[in-house]
Amino acid sequence: MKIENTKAQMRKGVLEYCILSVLSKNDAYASDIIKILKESELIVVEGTLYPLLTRQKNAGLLSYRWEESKKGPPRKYYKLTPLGQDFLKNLDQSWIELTASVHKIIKLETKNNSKTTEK
Amino acid sequence: MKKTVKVNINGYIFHIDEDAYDILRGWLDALNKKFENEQGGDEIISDIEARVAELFQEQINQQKEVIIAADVENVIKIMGTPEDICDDEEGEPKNTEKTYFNESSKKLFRNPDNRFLGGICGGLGSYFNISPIIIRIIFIISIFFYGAGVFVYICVWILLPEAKTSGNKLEMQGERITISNIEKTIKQEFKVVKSNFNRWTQSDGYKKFRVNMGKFGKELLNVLKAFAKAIVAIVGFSLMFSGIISFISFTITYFMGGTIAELSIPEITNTSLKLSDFFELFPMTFSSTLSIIAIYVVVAIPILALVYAGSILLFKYKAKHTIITLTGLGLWFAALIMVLIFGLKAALHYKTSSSYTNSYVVENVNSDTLYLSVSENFIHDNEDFFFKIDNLLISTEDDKTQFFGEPRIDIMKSLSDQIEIKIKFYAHGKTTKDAIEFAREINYNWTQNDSIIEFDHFFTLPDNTKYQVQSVRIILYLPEGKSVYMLDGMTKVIYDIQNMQNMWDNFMVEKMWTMTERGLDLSDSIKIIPIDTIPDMDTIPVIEEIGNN
Repeated sequence: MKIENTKAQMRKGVLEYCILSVLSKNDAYASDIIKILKESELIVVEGTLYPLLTRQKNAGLLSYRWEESKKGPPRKYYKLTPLGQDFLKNLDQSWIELTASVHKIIKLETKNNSKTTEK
Repeated sequence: MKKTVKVNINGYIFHIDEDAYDILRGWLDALNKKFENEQGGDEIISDIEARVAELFQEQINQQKEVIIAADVENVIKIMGTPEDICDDEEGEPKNTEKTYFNESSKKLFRNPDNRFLGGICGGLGSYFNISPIIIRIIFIISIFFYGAGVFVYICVWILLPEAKTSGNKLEMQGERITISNIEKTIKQEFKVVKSNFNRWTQSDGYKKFRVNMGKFGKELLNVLKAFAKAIVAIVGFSLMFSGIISFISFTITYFMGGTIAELSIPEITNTSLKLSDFFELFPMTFSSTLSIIAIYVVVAIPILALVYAGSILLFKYKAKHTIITLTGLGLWFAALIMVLIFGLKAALHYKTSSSYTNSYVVENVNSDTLYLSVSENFIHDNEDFFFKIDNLLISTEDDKTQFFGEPRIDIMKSLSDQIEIKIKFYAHGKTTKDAIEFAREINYNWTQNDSIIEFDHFFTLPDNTKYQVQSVRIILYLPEGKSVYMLDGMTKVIYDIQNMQNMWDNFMVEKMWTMTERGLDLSDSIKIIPIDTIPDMDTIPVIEEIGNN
């Protein structure tokens, strides 16, 4: 098992949550989202985003509209639907819980570790 | 120099290198495969394509108009491999270092690196992970089943793409075959076929197919060309070979006499005889050296032309073909005209036919019956030593030409009461005088001993006579009431004797015939003792009269 794989798995889980978060602030098109996600180093390869967007759209969490761009063909602008907003709230809640749990476990482990080293 | 392909990605036009195109194509195909069974898969692909277009747009400018392989690889690095993009829900462990085409299962390509014709056997070989030679052997065997293999091969040739890029080649090598892989492959292939068909009809896959068709056509043309070349070479070789053999055997036979070739000139059964000697048998003009050479040239030039044509087909050398051809044609025509002149001249020697007749009265016959027999005046053991022209046998043993001819004997009713024999000698010549002269040279003998007449089997001609269509006709005139009995040997010389029974010559021998008012009649009242009971030829056959008497 490679570290890269594990990391990718972890990122994958939170990626959907992050996309919804990004879109909750502003409507955006794919490249905008990618920019933000890349800056926060949440995605390694851009391609990952597209299936997620489409799936979320198909699940009714997102909708999109076509917007003319200055250069090139029109762009797809994604927007959260009310369903998506509910979904996001739900996720916000579970994220808080999850991080708390994870922190708890990490702290517990460090305690255990320190105990074993003390012995 | 590189060929570029013009592609439309999400409304942008890009010029893209062929190898770069292949990489991109492979990547998109792999992506398509990943998403084809997902709802909205097409949308994902078109979104990704839009992004790819954007990325390409960033990479080209006024100095750099063409997308190269490195650009495509860069974009793939940014976008990720199909495996990165498509996160399978099962969460299979992924080796991110693997390139996309290694993950996709093995593909069938025509293998350009291991090709004999279209590289299909090579491609099949790497697909099944066995030596292409085995496939080739199977293919060759299949040809013998009504050429099934050829048809299949051509179909496969049209349908299978060639593994052009390194990506294709890796795909061709693919993963090892395992049961699950095979299952996966079959499932995927089925889907691919389904979606490919849809894509094909509208997208550039169709164009690709047409390009493939064009390439196939080109390759087929090359193969046909190679076949044509091979056939030309074979034809050339056989022409040359047969020409040389004919030329040698003709020359040897013509001048030296030989047994290499049996020339099928009618009636010439002699193969150990020089053909040029054959002409010696004819009047002078034909036997002159010039005419012999002319005849040789007339025959030899077409043979040499075969050799020449064959050699051109085989070796394709450059020479002054026109001059050679014209010279050959000219020579041939000159020789032909010469032969015609000689022939005409020779024909003049046969212009007139004439004959002279010797008549004899057969006397001192102390019987009412005449016995006819044939004496063998020339015994030859080997018929191969003879020409036979018409009914003339020509022997050329020991540099001596000898003619032997069989006479034709007829029996007719005598107008008087005498037995008469007329011998007519025939010959052709320039003039009637010549003809008669030639006829006089014919030597023929017959003997009479009481009622027995013995005819020589052959007439002869003096040594080194020319052929002048000599012949001999003998007519025996038999008075009414007289009978004739022919011994067995007479079949060789009797010719078309009229008789009341309309019996054929061959059956007329060993029977007693009586001349009646209306012609020869079979005397049925006379019983003949069969010839094999006669102890000696000199003995007169014993005749027993029965019946009416």
